[in-house]
Amino acid sequence: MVVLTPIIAESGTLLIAGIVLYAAVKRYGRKIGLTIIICSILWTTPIETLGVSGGDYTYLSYSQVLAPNYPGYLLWLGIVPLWISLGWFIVSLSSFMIFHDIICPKRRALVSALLAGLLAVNVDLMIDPVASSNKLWTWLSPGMNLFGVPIYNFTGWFLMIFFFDLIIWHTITEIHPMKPLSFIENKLFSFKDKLMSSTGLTQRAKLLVVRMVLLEVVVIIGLKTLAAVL
Amino acid sequence: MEEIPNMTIITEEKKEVLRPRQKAGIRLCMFGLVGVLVLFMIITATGSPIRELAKFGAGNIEATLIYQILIYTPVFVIVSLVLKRLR
Repeated sequence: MVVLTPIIAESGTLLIAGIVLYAAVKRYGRKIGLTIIICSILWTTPIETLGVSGGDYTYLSYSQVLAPNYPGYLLWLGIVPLWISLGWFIVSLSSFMIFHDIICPKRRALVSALLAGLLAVNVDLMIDPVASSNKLWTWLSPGMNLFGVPIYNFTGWFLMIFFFDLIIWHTITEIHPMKPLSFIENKLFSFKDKLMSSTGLTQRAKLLVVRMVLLEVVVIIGLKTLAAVL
Repeated sequence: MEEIPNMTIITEEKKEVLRPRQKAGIRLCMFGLVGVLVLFMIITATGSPIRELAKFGAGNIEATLIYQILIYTPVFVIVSLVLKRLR
């Protein structure tokens, strides 16, 4: 094990996340840029926490390697290193900008989200095998795997980026109804118009929380099912 | 008969025009995405290559680099397309 590897990974990701946050502020403004990074951390950390506490993988391979009480990484969100959540932020925002702003801005949001999910899987096909070979995280029971990385991890990447992409477009950068969730949303909120164009800031924030929670549950159920099957 | 200028038709399309500042933001974000790929290439070069790739015949480091280039290609193509469209 090379001792420098976790330092390079953590400091490099923190630096790149700072650059991408600045890019988000330039593209969408301060309020939306900060909302995206906070929501991205809130979106990924619970799923990562479930993965670690469920015994699927661990981030403690480098603990006590650098110093007796040093857990391997400097900044943590509970049992998940901060740089992991920020890595998700970099990939999700980049793929969102690529497809919603440039490649297919006039297509349906669903198409852009699908393509964003596929791009994220493509990026992870490189990240995960390299990271697990270098013990940045260690898969404890890979099952059906590709280069030591469980297949369900890649489907997990797709689901997480796909749904988060839809959340960003439907609630953060713009405001649109989400048809599959409209039954629940209409019970909880009273929208003045069907297109939600006159939705206030407070109501929009509540809507964001509801959508994130509902879709997070969908992703967790999907991931747990896939992990059990594969 | 009076001709309708083309502009009238164009304005009916709902198209957001990106300002230079917003374009710079997207360019910077692409730099970030490529940065992640470069970061993991550095990790490969300074740390361990993907061990499981050795079974395909090539040495670990060569196989890892070939694998990375294959995986990088679609990302680099998409990023270069984005940068081209932003010009």
